Amino acid sequence: MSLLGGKKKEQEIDSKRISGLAAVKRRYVTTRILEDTATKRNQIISGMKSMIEDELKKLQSLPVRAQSMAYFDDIARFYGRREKEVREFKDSGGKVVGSLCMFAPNEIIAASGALPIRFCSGFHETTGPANMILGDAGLCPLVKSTLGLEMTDSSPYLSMCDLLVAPTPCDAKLKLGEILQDFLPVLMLNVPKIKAGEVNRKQWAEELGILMDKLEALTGKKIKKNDLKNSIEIYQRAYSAWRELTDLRREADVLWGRDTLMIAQLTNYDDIRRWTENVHKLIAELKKMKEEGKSVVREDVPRIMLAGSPVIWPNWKIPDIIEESNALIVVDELCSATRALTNPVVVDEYTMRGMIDAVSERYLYPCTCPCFSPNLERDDNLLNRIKEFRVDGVIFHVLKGCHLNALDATRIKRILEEAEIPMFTIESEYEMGDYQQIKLRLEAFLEMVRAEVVF
Amino acid sequence: MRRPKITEWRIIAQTAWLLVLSSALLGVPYFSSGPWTKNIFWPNLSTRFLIYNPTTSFLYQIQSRLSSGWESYYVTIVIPLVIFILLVIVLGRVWCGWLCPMGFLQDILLRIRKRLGIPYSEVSPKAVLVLNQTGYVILFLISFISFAVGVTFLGMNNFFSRAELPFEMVAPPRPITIFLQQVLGWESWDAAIPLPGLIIALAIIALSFKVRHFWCRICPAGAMMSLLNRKALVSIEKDGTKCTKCRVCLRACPMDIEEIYEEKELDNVTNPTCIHCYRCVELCPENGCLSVKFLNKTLTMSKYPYSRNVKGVVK
Repeated sequence: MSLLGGKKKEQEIDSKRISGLAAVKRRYVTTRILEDTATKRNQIISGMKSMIEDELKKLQSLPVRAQSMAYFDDIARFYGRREKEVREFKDSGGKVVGSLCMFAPNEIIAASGALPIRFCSGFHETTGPANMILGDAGLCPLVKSTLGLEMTDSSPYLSMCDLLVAPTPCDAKLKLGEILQDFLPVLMLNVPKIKAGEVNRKQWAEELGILMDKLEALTGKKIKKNDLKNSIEIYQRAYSAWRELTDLRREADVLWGRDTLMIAQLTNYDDIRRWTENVHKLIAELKKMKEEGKSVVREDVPRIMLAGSPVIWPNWKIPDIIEESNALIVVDELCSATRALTNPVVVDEYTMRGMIDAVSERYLYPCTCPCFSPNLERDDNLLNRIKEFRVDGVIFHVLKGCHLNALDATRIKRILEEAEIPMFTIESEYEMGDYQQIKLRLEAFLEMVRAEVVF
Repeated sequence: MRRPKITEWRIIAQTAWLLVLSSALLGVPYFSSGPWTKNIFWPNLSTRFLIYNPTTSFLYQIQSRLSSGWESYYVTIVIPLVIFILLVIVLGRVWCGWLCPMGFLQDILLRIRKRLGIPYSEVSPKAVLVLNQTGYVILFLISFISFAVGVTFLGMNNFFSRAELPFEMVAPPRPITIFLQQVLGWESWDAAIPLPGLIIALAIIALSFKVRHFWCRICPAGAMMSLLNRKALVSIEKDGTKCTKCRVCLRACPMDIEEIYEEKELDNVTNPTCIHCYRCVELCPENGCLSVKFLNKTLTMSKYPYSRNVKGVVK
């Protein structure tokens, strides 16, 4: 459905926007490189599996852990139960549509009957193969890892993907979408970097119109008004469940921050309805724990907010260091967790246009991705959350190569100085090489915060 | 139990007020001859031609008292003006969104359009400004023509019989009211309807179907109330720190008011053109970000859907 142009113009955009493996010669990834990586494949997959298992072992050994977490642990195993389900769905003729960023609207993808899956990768094993072709060692590790997943064919979900939606918030994601065209049909979505003005709003809605056309062509089925309405409501329920969980965590420390971040991450590939049900089960159990007066930590433990670049499961390096140093992540400001799930799609009129507008505005306006300028909402949101969750200190995580977050950190640090909230900016890689150094520095910061909490 | 949404309360209020206006339905057809109601003059738009109307609108008073001529020194306008100011100070443009029959008609049209799944036509920010100024132009023309036909020195008093009540000749409520009364059998089918009024009424109905609350944007009575809207005792307050700038309020606003979305510093965000429909408060997803206050007492506030139990969001 086009909002501005006619049918002909639409087709022109389409043919320019999308290209497939068969149609285009590989521009980045040559066959020789792929042969090199293919030999490493099994080694990489076993590395990834052991990474997940190690992390899960750590989480499962946490004291005072709700039993309902068992479901999430099961799904968190990337391979296994969920992989089998998606394969069954795919074999029965369903389409799998991947996306590279939280700007891709799951509501619209799900409305077409396709299964939306997000492909931000947290595996450090796959950054190596990506480095072979990129020639930019300083590039964002998240992007390198995701590219490596496809190059080594080690993600079961990526190999089942029929279409990849690649929004372009930053340079790294822009080029990731371009390089992945060597493997998959990719639809790039142009994210406006300045929110003000009617032109940008309409442009973004138009981008989503192109996405809808593409999905309709893929599934061979028109997206009807009720399809979109149902899928919006399914996601509204998921967002409400998340908000209820967040509200509960504000009142009582009954859930570890690491667990919370993991639950949020599972929306990337889990069945959203089942996820919602299980979050409600967890909430019920946590409420009981709250009534019994249980708490995961002692009372005087520093309450930490984790902000900045996305932290993707199972790259739990930073959350682990924080919570193992006797602190609690009470709230986060990551696009991989809270920011992806907090804002509901609020529909004013359930007409087709009304719903597309609601979805497009939900993904653009309340988003505080540092790719926007000005990004003043981010400062307000941070301050508001710090107040609501009684945060003692902010740890601002910057992935190496994420210039946008590094620059936002500079501004936010000044604002938090005024509010007298200590903030610490930490730069990290996916590889474990910088583990000891980060641990040392974070522990020093947490010790300082603790001193302020106690005295 | 599901809490009735603000829009539903509004429909109840609009229906009730319409029943009061056409008091015949309440079994008191001659309520209109009552001693005191005649001097209340409500501020919103209406017409003199509602048969069992207990009183008339202030807009009608402007026309009839200004056109009555110089001899009275226009002292007679003072009491209606004072009553108007008092009523608007108390309720602001709640008169438009909750009580005005013309607003009710537009709400009905809006709901029909929604039900049919037809999207509304967007009004560009520039056009919004122009339309908002139009109300004042119409108001000036009404006052000037009424004054001009009442005095002799402008040489326009020849038109007195035709333009004694200039706005009643073109205002859309008159044909609509007369038509409804004819349908109800209160009035004979050969009651006079001025042709310009009929054409404008049909045009306004067509436009209001496609453009949200089109008439409210250019209404002269609304323009008058705009002047006092921000000072009214009832107001929409915003807690700027809770705002995530998600733009829901602006998208939901039938009057396309940008202030409610842009404002971060001021507490009172009651824009002069706000018709107090509180759709923004109803839809805002942040707890306590927007609230409706009357004399600093909070009447209602925005809530995240899960605590509000909106349809489709299970608790």
